[in-house]
Amino acid sequence: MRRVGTLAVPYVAGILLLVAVPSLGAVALAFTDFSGVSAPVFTGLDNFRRLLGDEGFWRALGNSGVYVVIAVPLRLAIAVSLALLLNRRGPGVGAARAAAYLPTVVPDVAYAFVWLWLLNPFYGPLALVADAAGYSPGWLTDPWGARISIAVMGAFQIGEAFLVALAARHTIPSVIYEAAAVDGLRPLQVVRRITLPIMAPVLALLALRDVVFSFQANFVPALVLTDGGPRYATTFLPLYIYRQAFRYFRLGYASAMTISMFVLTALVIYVQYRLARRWRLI
Amino acid sequence: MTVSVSGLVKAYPGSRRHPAPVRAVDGVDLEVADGELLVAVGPSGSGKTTLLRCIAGLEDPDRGRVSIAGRDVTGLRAGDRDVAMVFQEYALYPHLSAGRNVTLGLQARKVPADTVARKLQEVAALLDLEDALERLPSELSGGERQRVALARAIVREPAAFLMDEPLSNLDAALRARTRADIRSLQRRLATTTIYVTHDQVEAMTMGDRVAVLRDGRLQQVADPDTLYARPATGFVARFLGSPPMNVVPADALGISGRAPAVGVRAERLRIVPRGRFRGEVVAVERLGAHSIVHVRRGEASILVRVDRDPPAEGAPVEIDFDDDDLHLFQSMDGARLP
Repeated sequence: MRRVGTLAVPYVAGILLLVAVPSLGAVALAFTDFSGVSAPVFTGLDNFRRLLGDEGFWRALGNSGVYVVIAVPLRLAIAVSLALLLNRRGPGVGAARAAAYLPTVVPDVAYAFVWLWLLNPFYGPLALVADAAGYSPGWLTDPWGARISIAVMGAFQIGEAFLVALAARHTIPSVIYEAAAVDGLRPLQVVRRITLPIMAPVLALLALRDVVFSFQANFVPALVLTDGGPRYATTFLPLYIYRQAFRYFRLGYASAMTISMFVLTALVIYVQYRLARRWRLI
Repeated sequence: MTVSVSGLVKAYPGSRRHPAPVRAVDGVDLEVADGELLVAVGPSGSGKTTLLRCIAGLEDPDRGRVSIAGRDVTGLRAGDRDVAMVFQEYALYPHLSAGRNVTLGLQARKVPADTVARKLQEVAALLDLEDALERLPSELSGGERQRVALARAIVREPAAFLMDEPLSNLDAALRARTRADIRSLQRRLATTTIYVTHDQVEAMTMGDRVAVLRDGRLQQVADPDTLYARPATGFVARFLGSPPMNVVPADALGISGRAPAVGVRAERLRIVPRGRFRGEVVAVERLGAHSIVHVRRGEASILVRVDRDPPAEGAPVEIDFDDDDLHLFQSMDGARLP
C-alpha cells in the first residue's frame, strides 16, 4: 500500500502544482481587480456584477451553448456510427479504425491550419467543389457558416469517444445478435432495440464528458480559423476569457468568468445526470 | 411441421497449425416428422451444434438443403425461417424485462399490441412466469432465465423449436425436473423440435428419436430402444447407455473368429463360479440399487453390472454370457455386422 502511494506522488504533485493551486488562485483572483502588473485589489463581487451586464460575456456564452448543442450530438453520432461500422474484423478495418482515431492525435493548431486550408474560400478544395456546383461558400464569412464549420471540424476529433464506443460494443456477446436474428429483427431494428439500448449507459457517460470537453475545446479553432468572427459569431467563452485576460489584462475579471463557466458547466452536467438517471441510462 | 436436411456440408477453414479445412457437418440427411422431438447427440466436435445452426440460418452451409414445412429455406435469413431457438446461455436481452424479452420477436414482426399482450399472458401462465415478467434477466434465477428463453421461443408459435443444450447451465436436480417439463411441454404443443445435447441420458429420456453424430456424420437415427438394442456402430454402442456397452476385441471375451470387435451390455454379463472367461476386479462402483464392477482382462476393461453382493477389489472372477447378447462390429467404432 505504501509503495502504491509512493508511485502516485509525481501525479499528485503535478495535480497540486498545475491544477489545484492555479484553480484556487483563479478563485481568489475572481474577487479582485488585477492587471498582472500592480498588486491585486480586493473588490468583492464587483467582477460578477459587471459580468451580468457584459453583453460580450452573454454573447460568448450563447455562442458556446450553440456550439455544444450542435457539436455534442454530431460528435457522438459520428463516434458511435463509426464504432458500429468498424466493429467487425475484416480487410481494411484496422486501417479504418486508425484513420478514425488519427485526427484526434494531430496537434490542435496543426489540425486547425489544415481546416483553414480546406475551408479557404478562394483556393480550398471544398470551395472548388462548391464553386463547381455553382454555390459560393460563405462558411467562414457568414456567422452561422462559421459556427457550423467549427462544429464540423470538431466532429472529426472523436478518437476517444470512438474507442470507448467500440469497446462498449465489443462487450455485447454475439449470441445476443443471433437471438435477435432468429427473433426476426432487421438490421436497423437491431441497432435501435438491442445495440444502442445496451450501450446507453456508456453513451450517456460519453455525452456528459463531451459537454465538458465542448465547452473548452473550441478555443484553438476559433483563434486560428475565425479569430472569433465574423461579428463575434465564434467568440466562444474560452476565447472571450482569453482576450479579457491576455489582451486587456483584466485577470480578475477573466477569473470571475472562468469560475462562472465552471459553475455553468457543472450545472449542465448535473441536469444531464439527473435526466440520465430518470431515463435509467446510468 | 416437418424439418428436413439433405446432403448438408459445412466446413470451417483450417488454422495455421491444422491447415486442412474441418468438416463440422459432413453430408447429413435427416427428416424430422411433424410434432416429433428429435435429439441430436454426440461428443463435442461432432457437429451437432453446427447442424442446428445451419437449420436456424445462423450458418450458411457449403452444400445441401434445409427445408421447413416443405419450404426450401436454405437461402433465407434466420428471421424468415419461422423457427425459434433456445440457446445454451439463453441469450436473453440484458436491457429488457423478462416480458419484453418474450415479446420482442412479436413486436419486430408488427403483431398488434393486444395480441402480443394476450400471448404473453398465455405463455407466462404456461411456464409459471407471471411474477417474473417485470424483472431484468440479471434479477432472475437460472431456472427462471431458462423458462424466459423457452417462453420467447414458444410465444412465436414457430414451425419448429431448435434447442442448443438448453439444460447445461442448470444444476443436476433442476436439470432432471426441467428435462421432464420440456418433454411434456413439447408433447402438449406438438411442435417439431430438434434438441442438441452431449448428454446421452437427456438424449435417451427425451427423444422420440435420437440422431447420433460423430465427426460431422450421422452414425444412426432411431428411437431410444432401437439404439440401445441394436446400435448401428461400435461408436453408438459405446456412446449410449449407462454404463456404455463393453466393446472390446473379440479375444478379450474369450471368443475369436466371429468379428474383429464384439460388444455386450454390462447387465448381460454374469459373475459365476465357472464362466467363459476369467478376469480381475479392479474397481467397484456402488450405486445403491446395483453396482458396476470393473473387470480387467489383459488390455481390456470390462464393466459388469451386479445387483447384489459385488466381489471385492482384486478378486479373480469368472464371467459368463449368452451368445444371443453379443453385438458384432467391424471394428471398435465400426459398423454392425449382421
